[in-house]
Parts: sequence; C-alpha cells; structure tokens
Amino acid sequence: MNLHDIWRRARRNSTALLGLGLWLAVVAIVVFGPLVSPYDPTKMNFLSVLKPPSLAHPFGTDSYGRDVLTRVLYGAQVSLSVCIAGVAAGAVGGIGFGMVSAYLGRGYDMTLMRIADLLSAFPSFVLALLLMFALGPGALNIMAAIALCYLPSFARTSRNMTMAVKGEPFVEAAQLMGQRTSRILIMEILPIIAAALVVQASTAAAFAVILESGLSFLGLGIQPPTPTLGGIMSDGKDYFQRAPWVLTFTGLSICIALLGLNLIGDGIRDLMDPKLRKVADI
Amino acid sequence: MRRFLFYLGGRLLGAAITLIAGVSVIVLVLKLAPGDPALTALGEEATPQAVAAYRAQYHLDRPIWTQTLYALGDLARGNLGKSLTVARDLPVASLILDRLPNTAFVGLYALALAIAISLVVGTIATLRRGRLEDTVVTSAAVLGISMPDFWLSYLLILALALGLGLFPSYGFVPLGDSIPQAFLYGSLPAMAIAAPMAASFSRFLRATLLETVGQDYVVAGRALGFSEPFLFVHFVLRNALIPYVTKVGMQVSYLLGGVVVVERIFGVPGVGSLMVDGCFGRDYPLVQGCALTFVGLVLATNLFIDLVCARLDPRRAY
Amino acid sequence: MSAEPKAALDKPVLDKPVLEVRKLRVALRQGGGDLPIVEGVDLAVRRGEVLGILGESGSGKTVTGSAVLRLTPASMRVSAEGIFFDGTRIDTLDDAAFRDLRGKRLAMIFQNPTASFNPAKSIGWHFRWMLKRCGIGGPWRERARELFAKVGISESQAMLRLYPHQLSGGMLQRALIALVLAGEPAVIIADEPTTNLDNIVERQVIALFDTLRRTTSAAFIFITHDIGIAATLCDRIAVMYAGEIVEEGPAAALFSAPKHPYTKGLFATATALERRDAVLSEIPGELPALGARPAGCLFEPRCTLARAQCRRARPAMSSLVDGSGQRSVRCVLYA
Repeated sequence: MNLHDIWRRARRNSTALLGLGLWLAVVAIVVFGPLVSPYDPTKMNFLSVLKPPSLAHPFGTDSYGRDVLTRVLYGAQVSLSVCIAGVAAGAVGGIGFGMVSAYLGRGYDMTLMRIADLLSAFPSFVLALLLMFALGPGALNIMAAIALCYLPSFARTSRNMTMAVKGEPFVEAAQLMGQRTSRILIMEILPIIAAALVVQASTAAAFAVILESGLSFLGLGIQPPTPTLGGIMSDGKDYFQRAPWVLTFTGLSICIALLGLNLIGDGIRDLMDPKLRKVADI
Repeated sequence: MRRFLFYLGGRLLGAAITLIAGVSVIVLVLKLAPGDPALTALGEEATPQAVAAYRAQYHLDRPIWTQTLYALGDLARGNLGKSLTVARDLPVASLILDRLPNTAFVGLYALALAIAISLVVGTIATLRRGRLEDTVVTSAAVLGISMPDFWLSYLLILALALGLGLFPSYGFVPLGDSIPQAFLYGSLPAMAIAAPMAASFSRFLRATLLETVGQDYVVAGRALGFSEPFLFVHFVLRNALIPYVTKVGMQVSYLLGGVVVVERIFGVPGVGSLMVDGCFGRDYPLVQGCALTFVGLVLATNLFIDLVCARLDPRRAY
Repeated sequence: MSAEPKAALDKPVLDKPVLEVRKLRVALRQGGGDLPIVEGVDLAVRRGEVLGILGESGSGKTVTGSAVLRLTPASMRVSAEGIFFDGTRIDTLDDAAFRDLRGKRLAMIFQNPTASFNPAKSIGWHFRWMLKRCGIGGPWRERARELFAKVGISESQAMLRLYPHQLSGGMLQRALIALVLAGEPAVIIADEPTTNLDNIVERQVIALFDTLRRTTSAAFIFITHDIGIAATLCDRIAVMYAGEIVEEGPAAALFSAPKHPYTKGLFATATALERRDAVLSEIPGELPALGARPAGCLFEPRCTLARAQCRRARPAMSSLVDGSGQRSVRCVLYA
C-alpha cells in the first residue's frame, strides 16, 4: 500500500483527520498569528507586568509586560521550524543511509547499523546536551543535534523495510529491466515504505519539540532574546507561583501542537499493512 | 548453561565494544568543543608555561586519537579526571558515584510507576475494547505522550504540592537517610518522568494484547476449557510480555533523558543535574563523565532486558 | 465399519446421539443486517461413531465446528433451535457452565498444531494445568505418561520438558490429541487435523484417529476436505456447500452412489485428479459471495441440472430411502 492509498483511506479515518486538522490549525495560527497580533514579542512594557489572562492578553503578560500569546506565537515559529528542519535533515540522512545500507548489504550494512546502534545508546537528551556543550547554543546547532538524535531510528526503519521489500517481485522485475539502483530505491521502494516514515517523522517531530524546548528551558538551547517555547517557560518558572499562566499556557500550546502530530502518526499507523508495521517496528 | 554463558559473554563483549566506541565519540565531540580546558581550569590569566604544563599533564597536546586512547586507559582504571569548575579538583568519578544512587532511585521509581500504570491501563483498555473505558484510556495516553515532562513537572507542583500539599515541591532526601522521606520527595519527579512513559507503554501494551488475544493458541486454550482469566494471564499477557519488556528496555534511554530536566526542576542531586551544571561551568571532564555514565546505564539496561527476554521467551536461542 | 441408521425415536437409549445440533445458524454481524455463513445445519453423532463433515474451503465446516463449542469470534452471531449433549440442551447454558463441558466433555483439535500450544509454556505445563482442570493434581506426570502412550509417544518425560517450538507438527498434533484425551471427552471435533502435516505424518495421525475411534467411546466429528481421508475414517458423511449440508448419509452408500449434483461433481473432480485425466471434470463457477447468496438453491448457479424451480425457493433436506439406510439430500431432484 503506498502513500496515495493511505491518503484515500485516511479521509475516512477520524484520528488522522483530527490530527491533520489540529496540526494545520496550529501551523496556520503560528504562521499568520504574529501578523495579526498587535504586540511586539520582545518590547518590554513595564506598565503591564504579570497581568493575568484577559481579553487583551489571552495568555496574560510576563515579568517584562510582554504579551505571552504573542511570544508563544513567535516562539513557536522558531521552535517548530528548528524542529521540522532538524527532523527533516535526520530523516533524509537516515533514510539515505538505511536504504543504501539494506541494498548494499554485508559489511557496509553491518558498519552503518553498528553506528546507528552506537548513536542510540545515548539517551537523546544527553546526546543533544553533549552536542550543545560542544557546538555551543544556537538554532543551527540544535537542528544538528535533533538531526543526529533521530537519524538512527530513521536509518533502522528504512533499512528494515527496504530489506523486507527488496525481494518482492516488482523490485526484482525493475532490476531485471536494468534500472539504475538509485532509481529503484527512489521510485520503487521509497513509495512503499513512505507511510511508515511519515509515522516516524510525526512522532520524531513531536519528540524534537520536547527536546528543543527542554534544552531552551534549561538555558542551553536558543538564547534570548529570540523567543522560543522553552525559553518562555524558563522565564515563567522564575515567577511560577505568582503568575502560573505564563508557564501553563505556553506548555498547553506545545501540548496541542504535539497532540496534532501524534494523532497524525496514530492515524496513519492504523491504516498501514500490519505486516509492514511489524517490520517497521513503529 | 554453557550456551547461556557463551550468550552472556557475547552480549557483554558487544556492550563493551559499544561503550568503548561511545567513549571515543564523547571524547571526539568534546575535542571539537570551543574553548580550551586548560584555560577553563587555570583561568584566563594563566601563564603560557602553566597552560603548556597543564596540556602536557592531561595529554591535550597529543593527536585526538591518542587522547582518546588515554581517556580509555583512564576509564579502565576508573579514573574520569578531575572536575574543573563545578567541584574544583574533586575526582569526577566520585562526584558521579555520589549522585548515581539518587538518579537510579528516581529513575527506577519512575520506571516502576510507569510499568504499574501501563499494566493496569493496557489491560483495562484491552478487556473493554471499543467501550467508554478504552476510549478514555487511549485518549489520555495520546495526551500523555504529547506533554513535555518539564511542563508536567510544574503542573504536578501546582496541583499536588502547592494545591493539595501532598508532596514537597522542591528538594530531595537520599534513600540512605530516610526511606519514607525519600519516597515523599521522589514522588513528584518520578511521576513527571513516568507519565509520558506510562502513556507510551500503555499504548504499546494495548496494541500487543489486542494482537495476542486473536492468536490461534488462545482459541485452542479456550477449547481446552481454561477460564477466561487464566487464558488472559497465562496465554495473552504472558506472550504479550515479551515484546512489552523489549519496548520498556528501549524506552529506558528516553527515561534517562527525562531525568536530566526533571532532576533540575525538583533539585534532585543526580547525574542529570550534575551534567547540566557541568555544561554551564564548561567543565569538560565532568560533562564527559556524566555522558559516559548515561551511555553505561543504557547499555547495562539493554543487557539486563536482553537477559529477561531470553528468560521469558523459550523460542529465543541463547 | 457398519453403517448405522439415522437417529430414530424408537432406538434404545445407548443409540441416542451424544451430540445433536438442530438448525444451526452462524452469521457475520453487520450494520445493515447479519450475513449468514452457516444456515440450517443439522448434525447428530453417536458414541463410537465418526461423522465426517466434507466440504471445500469456505463451505462453513470449520465455523460449524467452532460454533458448537462456542469458539467463534465475537463478530459472529450463533443461533440454533437447539444443541443437545447427552440429551441436555447446552446452547442455552451460561458461559461458566458451558466452559465446564468444553475441554472436558466436548473437545476440539485444530488444523494448525504449531499454533495450538501456548508458545511461552512447555508441553508439561499444558498437561499439568489440563489435568488439574480435570481434577488430577498430584500424580499428573503418571497420567500424562498414560495419555502419551495412547497416542504412541513413549518418551513422555522428555516430551514434558520440551517447548512447542522444539517439536514437529506431527508430534505436536499427537501431543494435542493426548492433551484433549485428558478430559475423557465424549465428543471430539477434529478440524482438518492433518492438513498442515506432510504426507507420511498425515497417514500416521489418521491411523492414530482410526485406533482411537476403536479404543475410546468418544464420538468424533472429523472435518475435512479430503475425500480419501473421509472414506477411510468416517462412518457417516455430511457434505457441506456454502454453509449448508447438501447431502448426508452412511459413508459407504454416499461414496458409492452420491445423489446431490454438488457431491457428484466433487467426487468426479477427485477421481479425475486421481486418474490424472487430461480433462478435469470441474464444477464451473465459484462459491456464492457472503452478501450475495441466491434466494433459491445455493448450488443452482453452478448446477448443470438446474431448473426454473431451483431459483424459487431453498430446497429442504429430504429423506431418501434406497435400502442402504437412511440418507437425506437437499435437492429438488429427490424431493
């Protein structure tokens, strides 16, 4: 079953649709919200410090009098783009390594899979922390850390699935017809395993958001004044008892975005062929 | 038994190789880090002679691969170097060993909570499949994996510590000092780490149980006249346990990641908060030692889980 | 093998069927109304008798066997005018009471022996709990040895230590039969128990069933698609087509003179295959689809002898007296 079939069936799968709707809404709000918002995410206003949620400030204001909702929107732009770019890089790299590894087999496969095993022996947060320590804070470095954290799982999934698919008659037929390996991998095998990779990408993106905001929350991620979701919450924790809304609403926004991603993943997973799902181990 | 020992030996060897490779990666990554450990240790005003002497003492003047070999040699002797800034001149190994029990306690407490919750929840969802209980539980589980653990930590503080006053909101008591106090202080951190894992375990257990319920051997067992509770425990749950334990093992790595942030929030003096301190203080040996400890913990758990699975699954040849 | 007459009210008590099924119906639950899989199936089997249910795959024979033991999945709805065991109606029993019969008095053996054992537990575990369930606690190993002896396995201690994956299909099927015999069941339903075994092992297991039939007092319902096995093992045969019994009678008579056009076609195909005829006298067409069952005779679309009358109403089973005992056929040609 390829991605197209999945899409046709997904239109009748309420979980996937709910997730997609939620996620599209989140993206739309994050993209267009800042354009609509009357507030500046960084400009301080000491006349309205730590105001509780109201019509003017639905998420309240922080200790510098900034509108928390506006900051969340800008922060989400930064956080989501960093995470999506990181996961995309990890996915492209991982899928490339995995498929080539499965196709070439033997020593090459062994080596690449051992490297993947090695990388997955690091708790992802610890690996990210180590990389941030080595590379220094910054959006590009976080992207690199996220990519490296999720590369092994993409590599393993695409490798296992390519292994399972490569003996299929249609792949052998393409080989007999003398098609180039790269063409077979991209045109014949990738569409078959794409659904599993989409599931993985959606869960990886969800974890990446937690990872990125966790790093920024600790102060080891993207540095202020650039607003990030973790950074806003890190601010909020300092006056958490006096103004719990800053941390609570920011976290809630993250939660909704992740819920959308996880529901998409769940929905597509449910639609997949159980045998392929087993191979993919997702 | 001999086959088992061979198997165990092979697994240990594999873990050792991964550990050595892991050390190399950590050392290499830290060599790429900006800044100079010598300057961090001696201060910016250190004389060039002192810096050179320091570099020679810690082999920092050698090529990277030689440095890696030295680090491996040191590790084999249990020497992780001395802390530069966080706890000046104290051996990193003893700093970590002091805090490892706290991390282990919070981690295991969280793991136990997650396993207990998921066993109950996964079973309920399976037995009441498609009914209200199932819907509630599965929805809660999706929500659970969508919550950042550090946010959940504050929600828990808000609700259970500040609101209901059930647990202290900050601080830690080591298990050795007072067992009830340790559990009291450890509860909120453990819950924060456990919640996303419990959600993920429950989802996995439910899926596995539902798959197992339909297996031929369950119908065959029913045909033999075994009762439904007996079938569920000995046929369904018992067989679902094998993939479940594997899943739990894989998630330990995720759990240890959560430990880092949550320890910091609740002020648990563990390896995770030590590593964060090290990162802020640019304490190279300390960060290196902490990262290594986490890799070692993951490898040890993987090994343990592997042995448990081999025990659980008679089909697995050693 | 003597051909016994069909159940009659004036027969002595011993000759009463130990299991009798009246108008069994199994349907797939569907939103817009149930889709019937099995309809109007009547079965009766006596002690020491082997009743064969013969039919191609998809004819509903396995579902029939599972429905009697309440083993059909929840997606299927089972109803009957009555299922009687030893004269008591059992289809109305509650689950707990029924479970007491199942395994002990009514047993079932499945097609795939490798999937019939709990893969996480040893053979010994299965025997220990099965015997415990049947009230044998302490000396269960001794009892297991006796049971293994009945199925021709002498190495019982070694067997008990092994796990299902360590045994071949033939050994597992023997072990399962031994396990099933633990309850000294009065009825054993065997659902294609030899289909997944290779040729020699299949013959050994068939021979084992043949011995068991003579040495135990149990009644057997042997579900198969193999006409050869049905002929060697069964006293009576019920031929199933599309969820209905189309012909029923003593094996010898049924094989020598099949009546229903489907049975005739089935036997002709089998003999043609055996003789390796160049032209296969096949039955044209396919089984009717689940949702598209004809209102008239289910075999009519494939029947070479079909008439207009066949399309109007489903024919009933009608008795046929031909001197070899009572036989019945579901076909207007014999009504």
